[in-house]
Amino acid sequence: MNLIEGKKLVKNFKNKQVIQGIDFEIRQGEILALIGPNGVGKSTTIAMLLGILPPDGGTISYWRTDYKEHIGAQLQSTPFFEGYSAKENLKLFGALYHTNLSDEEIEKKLADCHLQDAGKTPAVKLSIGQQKRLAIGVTTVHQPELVVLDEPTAGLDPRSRHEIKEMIGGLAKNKQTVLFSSHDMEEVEKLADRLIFMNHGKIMDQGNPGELIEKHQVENLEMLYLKLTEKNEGEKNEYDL
Amino acid sequence: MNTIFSLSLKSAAREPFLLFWSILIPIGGTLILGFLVGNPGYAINITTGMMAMGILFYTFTTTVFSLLGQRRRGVYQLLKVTPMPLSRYIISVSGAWTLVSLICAMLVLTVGVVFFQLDLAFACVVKMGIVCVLGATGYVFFSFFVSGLCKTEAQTSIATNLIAMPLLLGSDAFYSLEAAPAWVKTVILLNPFQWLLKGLRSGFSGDNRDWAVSLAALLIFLGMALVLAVGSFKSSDY
Repeated sequence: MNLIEGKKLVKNFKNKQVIQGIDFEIRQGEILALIGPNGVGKSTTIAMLLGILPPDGGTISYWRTDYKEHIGAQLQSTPFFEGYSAKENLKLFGALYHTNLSDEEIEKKLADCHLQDAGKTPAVKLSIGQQKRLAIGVTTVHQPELVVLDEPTAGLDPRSRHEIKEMIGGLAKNKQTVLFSSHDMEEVEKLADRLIFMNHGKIMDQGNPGELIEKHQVENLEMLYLKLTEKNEGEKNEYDL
Repeated sequence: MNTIFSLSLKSAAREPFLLFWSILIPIGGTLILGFLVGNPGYAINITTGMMAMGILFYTFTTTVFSLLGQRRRGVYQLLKVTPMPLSRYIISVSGAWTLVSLICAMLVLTVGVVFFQLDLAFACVVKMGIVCVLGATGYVFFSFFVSGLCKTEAQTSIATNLIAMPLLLGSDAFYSLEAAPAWVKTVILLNPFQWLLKGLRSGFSGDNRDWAVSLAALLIFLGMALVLAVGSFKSSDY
């Protein structure tokens, strides 16, 4: 079953078409990686899927009408509420998803995020690694069917990256569907069941890692990344989450 | 909604700007000016001036910065992803901020009553409280609009000063404007801060007509601020 299906999606910023008629689906139970250099439209695509940005063309269909109750999303910036502790952020996000968390559930969630000693610390004062872990915690506070993570490991040290990868792996074991964007091929190789390569607002190819490597006759995903994405680092969409 | 309200209240109470601008300065100002002027009849003018100033600084200046911080962290983008309607979230946090400013204003009033032995009936306190709530809610909604216009803290600082200072100085909070030119008196009719003051003072004195007119003016301001806030959410990058 497809949780989300996007057909011929288009997004324009001023006179520039940043998403150029892309088609794709998110299948139940998979870990799907959205891959591409900075500024190719990954965040814009995610923003359209989540309903933050309306598409200028094409359609998006969801697996249920009350899909917002069943999606958890972490955007590129970690949007914690200033002046709130890690615990209070979990409680607040629970309320936003109509989930009333007990103190025990909050403690468990903090432990799952390896933040049991940081519950009273203001969330914005946590280290970047801790913030990213808490971000996944608040994203999954309501046990969503689909978890969307926009560059969850960007800017992290190897240990923090490893912890985030473990958390994403844990979501998959919990039978939650995950969509994450990345340009770290090592992370993608370890986690993803299926990949979508984007460049210049288009989907260059999609499929499972083995199939794609064989199809493009490359040694590994890094070579595939280089083949499918032209050098355009530094370009930025006007929409930048 | 209750969780959001109670957490907002808790977080607002920890805000250092609140302690300084809406508690320490108004209370300190009330006491210092009150004793310096030394005129018991003028004490209520000073007390209500400080109450209104505290409300303005908290529900407008502090909240504009707070909203900017939340917006820049992507809080409002994320709210669009959650099933919580944005309007319910805004009502909850606005309610909490209004309640905090009401408590601060009542604290200032208590200091004025105790130190200057003001004779205040319970009905007057209720009337003044209603004025505080209407004025504070209007300023909170207005702060959503102003915050939507600002992209940086520097811009926010300029915008809040450009708005708050004329409101404050273009009122008779701390000096009489009886001798002001006619055009100044006309312009002052458009100043929502002056209506907040007038509402507080008429609530205290028991002048029901002035109190009702002030409430009506504050309601109009609240309605306009709400329209601006909604428009700002629809058209800006909130």
